[in-house]
Amino acid sequence: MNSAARREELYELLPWQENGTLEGAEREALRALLASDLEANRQARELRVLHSAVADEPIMATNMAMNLRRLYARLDPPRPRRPRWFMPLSFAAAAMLLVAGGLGLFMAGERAGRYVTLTTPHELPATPADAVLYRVDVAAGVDAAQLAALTGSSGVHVLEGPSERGVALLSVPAADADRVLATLRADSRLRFVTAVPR
Amino acid sequence: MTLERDGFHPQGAADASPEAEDQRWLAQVALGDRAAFECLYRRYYDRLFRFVLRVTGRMNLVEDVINDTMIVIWKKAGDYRAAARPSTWIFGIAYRKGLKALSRELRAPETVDELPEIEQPAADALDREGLHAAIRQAVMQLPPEHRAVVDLTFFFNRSYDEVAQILDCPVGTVKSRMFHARAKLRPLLSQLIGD
Repeated sequence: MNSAARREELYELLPWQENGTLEGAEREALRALLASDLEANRQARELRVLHSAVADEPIMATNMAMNLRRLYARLDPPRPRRPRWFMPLSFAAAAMLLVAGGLGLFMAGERAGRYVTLTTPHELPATPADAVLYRVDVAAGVDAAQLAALTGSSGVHVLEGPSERGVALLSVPAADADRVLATLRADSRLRFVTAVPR
Repeated sequence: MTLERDGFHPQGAADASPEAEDQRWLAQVALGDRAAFECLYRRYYDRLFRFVLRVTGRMNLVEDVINDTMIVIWKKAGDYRAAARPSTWIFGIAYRKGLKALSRELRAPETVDELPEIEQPAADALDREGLHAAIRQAVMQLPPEHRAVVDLTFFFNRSYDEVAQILDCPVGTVKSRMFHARAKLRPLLSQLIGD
C-alpha cells in the first residue's frame, strides 16, 4: 500500500480518534499523522465541531411512564371478549342440563317407587264386617300376644305380625276403635298407628 | 435529566458496572422477570428515544419503535450472548425496528442520491448554539443509515467495531457511510471552521 492510500485509510479513522475509541497501533498511527499532516488536522477540526454539535443536542423530555403502560398493555392483552352468541348458547346449555338433571331425578324416583305398600295389603284376612283395621309399628321384641294385651281390649285380634321390623295388622271391634287407638298412641312402645282403609 | 451515554467502564470492575448489571437483568428477563425488564426499560428509554429519533427522524414513530424493541428483548432475552455488550445488542434491535418502521411509513426508502442538498446557513450570523443546531439539522438530512453511524460515533461514543455490530454490517460499510456523511456535511463544517 502506498503512502497516499495509507493516509486516506487513516483519514477514515479520524472520527473514532475524535471520540476516543481508537486503540493500539491505529491510535498511534493517527497521532503521528496529526503531528505532521495539515489535511488530517483540518479534518480533525471539522470532526471536533461535528462531535460537539451532536453531543450538545438538548435532551428531550419524554413520557416514559405512559409508554411503559402502553408496552404492558401489549405484553398483557385483555382477554378476548366472548362473542355475542356465547351468552344465549350458554343459557341454552344450562337449561338443557337442568332438564336432564330433573328427568334423571324423576326416573330415579320412579324406580324407587316400585315397592309393595304395607298399609294397604291387597288381600286382607277375613275379618268381621264391623271391625276396624289398624296398621301398627311396635318396638322390637313385642310379640303378637303382648301387642294384643297393649290394646286393652279383648276383641282385638292380631291378624299379621309383628314382622321383623315390628309391623303388624290389628282387627279392632268398631265400637272399641277410638279407645284402642288412643291407648296405642299413648304407649311408648307403639311408634306408629294408622287405620287401614278397607 | 441526564442521558447516560453508554460510555466505557473500567476493566476488572465487571460486577459493579452497568453493563454487568444489564447482563444480569437480561438473564432474569429470559426467566420472565418483569421487574428486571422494567429496570432495563427505564435505563434504556432515554437513550433509545434519542437513537430511534435520529434513525427515523420521525417523532411519531419513536415510542412505538421503542416498545417494539422492548418486546423483542422480552421475548428473546435468552438469545443474548455476552460476546457483545448488552447495549450493543439492544441498540441493534432498535436500529432494525426503526428502519422497518420508517420503511413502512415511507414505502420508498430514501437513498443518498435522492437527498436534497444540505442548506448552508450563513455562519457569520449564527452563535455557537445556532451553529450546532444547523449542523444537527444537516445531519438529519442524511440517510437513516448514515445518521445512525454519526450518532453512534459522536453521541454514544461507539467504536467502529461496535457501530458495525449494531448496524449488522461490515466495518468497511461503517467507514464508507461515515465518509459519505462527512462529504455531505463538509461544506457546512468547512464554513464553520473558517476554511
